[in-house]
Amino acid sequence: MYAWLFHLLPGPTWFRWILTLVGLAAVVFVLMEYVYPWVAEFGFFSDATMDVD
Amino acid sequence: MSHTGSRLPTRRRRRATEKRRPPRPTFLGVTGELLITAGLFVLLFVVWELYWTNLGANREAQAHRDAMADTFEAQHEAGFDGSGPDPSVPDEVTTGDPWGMLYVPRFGPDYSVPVLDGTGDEIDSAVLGRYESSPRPGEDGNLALAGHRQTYGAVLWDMDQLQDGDRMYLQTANGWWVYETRQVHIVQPTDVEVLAPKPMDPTATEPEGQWLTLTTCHPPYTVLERMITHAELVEFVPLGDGAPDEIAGAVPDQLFEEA
Repeated sequence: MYAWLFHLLPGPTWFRWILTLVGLAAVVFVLMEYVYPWVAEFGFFSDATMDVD
Repeated sequence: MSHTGSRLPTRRRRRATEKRRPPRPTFLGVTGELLITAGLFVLLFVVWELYWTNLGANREAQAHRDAMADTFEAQHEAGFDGSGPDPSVPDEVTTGDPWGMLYVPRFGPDYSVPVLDGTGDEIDSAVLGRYESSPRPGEDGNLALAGHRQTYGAVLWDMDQLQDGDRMYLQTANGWWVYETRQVHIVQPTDVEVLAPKPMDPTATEPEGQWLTLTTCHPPYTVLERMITHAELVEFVPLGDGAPDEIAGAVPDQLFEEA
């Protein structure tokens, strides 16, 4: 699948690699800044407080 | 003989074309690659939790320290000697503005963590958050603070190193409230009596003595239990007397000056 997507990218190979790296960086950034903080709200991994209601 | 010569280039050309155009993805291939992606997704979450959250958290905590340098000067009440509630601390737990700093020499000579109100996402920035049930320093009762164990600055990572008798210093605009560790223990998340007015005596209904309680998660990387420290007030050091020797190196210069 990824080989196929890589093939669909325009331009020469070196340009495709740059596109790939930029795309990966964007995905990682969105995960770090938005997706993971949202996932963490469900509190599977870190909860320092007592269960007070 | 001549036909083999003409076929070779064709085969070579076809091989080159094949290299540029990969075979169409199959169902099995896509599934496999998605599974690998899912694995990387989970791995990256760990990187986020243990590394990324700490970066931002420490930056925010530093901003709190800088902000307190100004508010401390404005809130300082000359002549306050520690008898009665500290007037520089909000009476009610409401906003997320920092009002204090906690120093724990056992956690390192430079350990200094801003203290503010609230135990929700307020504590997601290398700080300690005051529980809503808590009194102000100087009032009888149990001042409880929550802090993360391994994320967001991991301010209470070393709680298991604390020993009975270890001192903790809670600085406000007026001075240092000095507490001595009495108990470090592990409880269930639902054991809210650790927040009771007299935490080491759950049968007591009336506040007695001034307590400082820290809560964090345990074991590290889980939410199964909580690690708790109870400490009792032993002394108040007015700002004018200067920082106690044990924490002299940890107190930022700008929080030192008397107004």
